[in-house]
Amino acid sequence: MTSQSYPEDKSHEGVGAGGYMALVLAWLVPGLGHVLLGQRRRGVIFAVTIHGLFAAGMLIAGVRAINPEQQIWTYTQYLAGWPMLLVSPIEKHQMAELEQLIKNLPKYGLEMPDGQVLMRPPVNDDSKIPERIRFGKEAIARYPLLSNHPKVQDIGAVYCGIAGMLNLLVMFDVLLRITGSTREEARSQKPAPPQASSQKGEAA
Amino acid sequence: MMMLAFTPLIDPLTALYPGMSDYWLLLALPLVVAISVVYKGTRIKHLRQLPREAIILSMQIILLMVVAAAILGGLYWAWIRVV
Repeated sequence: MTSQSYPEDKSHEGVGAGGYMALVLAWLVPGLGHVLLGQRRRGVIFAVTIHGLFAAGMLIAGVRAINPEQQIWTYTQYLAGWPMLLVSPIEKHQMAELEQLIKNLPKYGLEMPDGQVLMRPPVNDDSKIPERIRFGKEAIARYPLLSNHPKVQDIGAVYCGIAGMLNLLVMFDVLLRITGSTREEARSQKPAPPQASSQKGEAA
Repeated sequence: MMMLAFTPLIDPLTALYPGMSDYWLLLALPLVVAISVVYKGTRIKHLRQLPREAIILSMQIILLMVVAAAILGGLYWAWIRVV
């Protein structure tokens, strides 16, 4: 048996305490479950891909990728393990700060690096559109988190959510390897029992 | 420099490149590759098969998305002419 193949069928023995620990670690650190089972190269590939996907989502959409409005993506993001556990409180803190900033904008305006305060132009006056554009650009330059592009934000959330779902798939694979279970596909590839040939022999 | 306040992984990249919002669909391609790599990584027995299998699956997914988009686009094109 090579290190990359499935071990013999031990499904009747159950997962065991060590198996549950490997499963929890596989959730907490994507790829670690396979490394613990001796599948080092496979574990590294999973770790790099899942961590990379989660990081790419964060790079694209920032903390706006985390805890999106659709709750289902939040749940799937938690499947990614430690990255989500680390980032979720940061996202809550950042979004609370942003909410406070947006709340204060009409009252206090936007403080510029040179000390001047840029007041938000009225939104119901069409003649102020160029000023509103300038205000928007200045605001995003000062507070980049104000930048809101829903499609890109959704893609970032999907990256992090899919990273979690892929980790779930990897955890199932760890479970299969712990129990030594074979997949249905692999079972169907097993050689057929020698009944057919014996029957043929009998017929001959 | 206008964007001194930009912090990677905290602030969205659209603050630096607002134009990337027009190409958001292209961002699905790396996602497809990652899904293919992990899925095939759990299915294949020998890792040396992984690059080939992942490329084939990626192509299949992309092709399926293109076909689905063409069908849905065609249906929409027909719908707006009927209704």
